[in-house]
Amino acid sequence: MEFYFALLLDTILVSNVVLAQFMGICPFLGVSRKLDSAVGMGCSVTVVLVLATAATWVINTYFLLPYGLDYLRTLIFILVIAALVQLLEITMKKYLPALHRALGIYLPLITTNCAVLGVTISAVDEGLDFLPALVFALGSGLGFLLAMLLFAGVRSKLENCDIPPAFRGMPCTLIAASLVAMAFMGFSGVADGIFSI
Amino acid sequence: MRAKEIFLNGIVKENPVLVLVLGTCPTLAVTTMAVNGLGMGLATTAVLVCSNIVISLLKRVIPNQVRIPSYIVIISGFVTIVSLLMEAYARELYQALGLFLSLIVVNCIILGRAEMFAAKNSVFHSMLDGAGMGLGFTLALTLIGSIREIFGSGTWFGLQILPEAISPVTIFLLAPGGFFVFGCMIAVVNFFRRKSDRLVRNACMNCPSIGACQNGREGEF
Amino acid sequence: MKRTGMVKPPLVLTLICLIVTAALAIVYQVTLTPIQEAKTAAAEASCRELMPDADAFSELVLPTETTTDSGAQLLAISEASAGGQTIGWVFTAAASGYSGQVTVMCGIDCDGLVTRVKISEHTETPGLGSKVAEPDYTDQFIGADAETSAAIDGITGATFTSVALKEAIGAAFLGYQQIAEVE
Repeated sequence: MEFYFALLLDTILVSNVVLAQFMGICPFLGVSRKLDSAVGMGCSVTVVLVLATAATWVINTYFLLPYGLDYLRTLIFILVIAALVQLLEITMKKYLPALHRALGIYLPLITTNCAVLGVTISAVDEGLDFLPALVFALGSGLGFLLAMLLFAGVRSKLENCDIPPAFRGMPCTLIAASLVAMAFMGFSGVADGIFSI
Repeated sequence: MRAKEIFLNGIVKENPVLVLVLGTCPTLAVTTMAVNGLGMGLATTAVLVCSNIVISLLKRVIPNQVRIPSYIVIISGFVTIVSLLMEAYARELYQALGLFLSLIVVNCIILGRAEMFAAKNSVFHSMLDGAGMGLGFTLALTLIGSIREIFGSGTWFGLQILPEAISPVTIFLLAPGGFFVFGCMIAVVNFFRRKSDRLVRNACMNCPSIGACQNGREGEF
Repeated sequence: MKRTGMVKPPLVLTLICLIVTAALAIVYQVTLTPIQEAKTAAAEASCRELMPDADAFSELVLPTETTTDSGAQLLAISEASAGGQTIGWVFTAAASGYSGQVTVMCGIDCDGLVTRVKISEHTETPGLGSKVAEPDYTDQFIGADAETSAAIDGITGATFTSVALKEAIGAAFLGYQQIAEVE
């Protein structure tokens, strides 16, 4: 139990996917201008991440590794993620139309979100077992959600600022991201410190 | 468009990183050293040129409905080939780039160029477009890598540049430094081409997921 | 007309998948040997850094005890020989630092003295913890034995990393003692 909690804390705060590992920067910068869209994107990514990790872990362990096919990993994983996102969209449209209206527009974006491919590959690369891999994916997704939420808040403050013309838009957003990333650096060692592992 | 124009377009006018702001993940993640930026850039260029050629060759064969999955399969094939070759012949670079070598698959520059250019143009022009875009990406990554390496560890391509007495500002090597340097670079580029907003909108036309992105719809970064 | 629209797209996609997979299989087969060679060469090169006098290295089976009291893990042992004579061993061990594992390679000669120490992998804070990995610090361990190496001072601001390095060296000596008993 302690291990899972430490893993969760580590993936959410210490090695945050966006702010420490630079995965999923495009949606982080692109979809964080409004709070509700940031939440929608963050939730969709979390759901897809957990499902995709479950699927790719099983495929990797039972189909790729036993036959020495791990060089096909990138190809298979991205196909699985693309298929999963399609499937999720169809299912949601049919059975949960309200949720589909809220999250639907973010789903097509997720296939090319490198956080999803990156986390699924890291989960098998680090040799995690099935349950830890799922917790790892959940933590990464929640970390993404947290970064999106915080950053949407930071950006709403930027809206009313007087910024030099050359820095308006993307440059200023990136420098704000730099400050948020610096704040997250303060978490390094927290998980190890609490659980002394 | 003439051949030369197509080639130079990606390097200067529509530089994928500094003007179009695409492929941000590898731009930030691997540029702690100039040599890593260069290696990442060249690997991406190789994939981009090959996938542009193949997709342009197959543009009449691939049905519209399975366009995107087909592109993804072709691109990830080339990515795996490049990473296998790098593992065999450039092991140090392979280890330095790590996960981000596989993540070339989801680099939106590559899928974007396939969709925007290779699917509509001749093989030769697609190849030039891939080379131009790839070199533009490489140049930007090497530049950012150089700045971060010189300030962050006082070296450039491994050579000592700053005197040892000046202690390097290590924050440049960490995540915040990456965002900061990238932001400043775009600001410098903006300073010189502030008036042409048209390009930014073109940028988003490259992105396969334009439909879902706010920037794409509102035409503003 | 409609029928071809149903059949053709999946067919083309399947065909593309098959061709790409076949191409990958070929490239994989071709690069298999160079990748193996590059791997061994890299492993040998890093062992040679720690045992400059050796001309051959061979991997040994790990002894029964691999974890020290402090939790450091012994990961691999390579036997170094020169002219057919064993001159020492290169131990790879890991211990927890400030953020994540610190992997250390440590050469120990037949007299039980450290030939050289190198941190091969770490994720410590650059500028603080990473100072421990610099030769200025690791060279202090040259010629030390199990006791003197544990008594070397840590670096200010990098206490956790210094401790991790010493714990990993402790794991290397644990392996050395077990090998020396057998010989």
